[in-house]
Amino acid sequence: MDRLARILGVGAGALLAIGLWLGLVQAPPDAVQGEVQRIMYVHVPSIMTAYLAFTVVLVASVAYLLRGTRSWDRLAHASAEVGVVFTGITLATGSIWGKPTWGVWWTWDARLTGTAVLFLIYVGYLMLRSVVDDRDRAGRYAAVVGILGFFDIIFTHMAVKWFRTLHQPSSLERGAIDPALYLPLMVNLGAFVTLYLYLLLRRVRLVVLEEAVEAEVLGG
Amino acid sequence: MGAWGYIGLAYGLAALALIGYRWSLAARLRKWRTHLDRAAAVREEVT
Repeated sequence: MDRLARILGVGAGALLAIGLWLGLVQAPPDAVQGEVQRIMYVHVPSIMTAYLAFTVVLVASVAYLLRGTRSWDRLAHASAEVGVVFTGITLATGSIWGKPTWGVWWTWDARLTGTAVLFLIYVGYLMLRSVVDDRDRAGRYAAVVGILGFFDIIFTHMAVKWFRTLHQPSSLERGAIDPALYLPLMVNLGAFVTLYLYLLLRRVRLVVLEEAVEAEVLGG
Repeated sequence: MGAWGYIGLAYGLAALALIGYRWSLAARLRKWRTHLDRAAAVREEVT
């Protein structure tokens, strides 16, 4: 697993370097928003990666509740933490993009509020895990939050269709953006997903070590 | 602030968050590995 993590780490670094070059140098500025639209190459991949991370939490949580296997709980725990990092990046970059585009750093728009709630749900998920001493019980409680939290992803993603929002529609839909902007976006998305897989493997390894230390302390 | 100022701020913050998190993971991994290595060494010494 360590070898795979190293390969993913190097791959993510290379893809991020290519993505940076494509997004900041090669891609043309947007016809309406101008240069500031380049924030999209970080903002969109980070929220899509967060969605992926929380989908993994959902699947692993269901599997843990059904089978009770520790490895599913480790996967859910690790993925939730990495997902929170990517959601934080989404909120920060979105806010910075909002100021020159909308004139405000923040507005209580349905998409923005949904994303903020998503961040809080999974921060709560991690806090819940840390306050319950018994690992299996913490895993079961967290799994319920991990499953329920997923509904906010559906709400957040669909918010731009269900409500009149200030936030623009999804950039990933067919024909939503020019192909000259789409390729750099896809490369950056690939880079972020590879980076997520790398961080996920490292975080799972950390959970395994934490459990070994706990067993050592309790056994000693 | 101009457009490139906002772009720099967004990319800078994202890089800081990712590098910071990667560093935090590495530090925690190192800490627990050291702990387990020391425990194993003590056990070996005792037996």
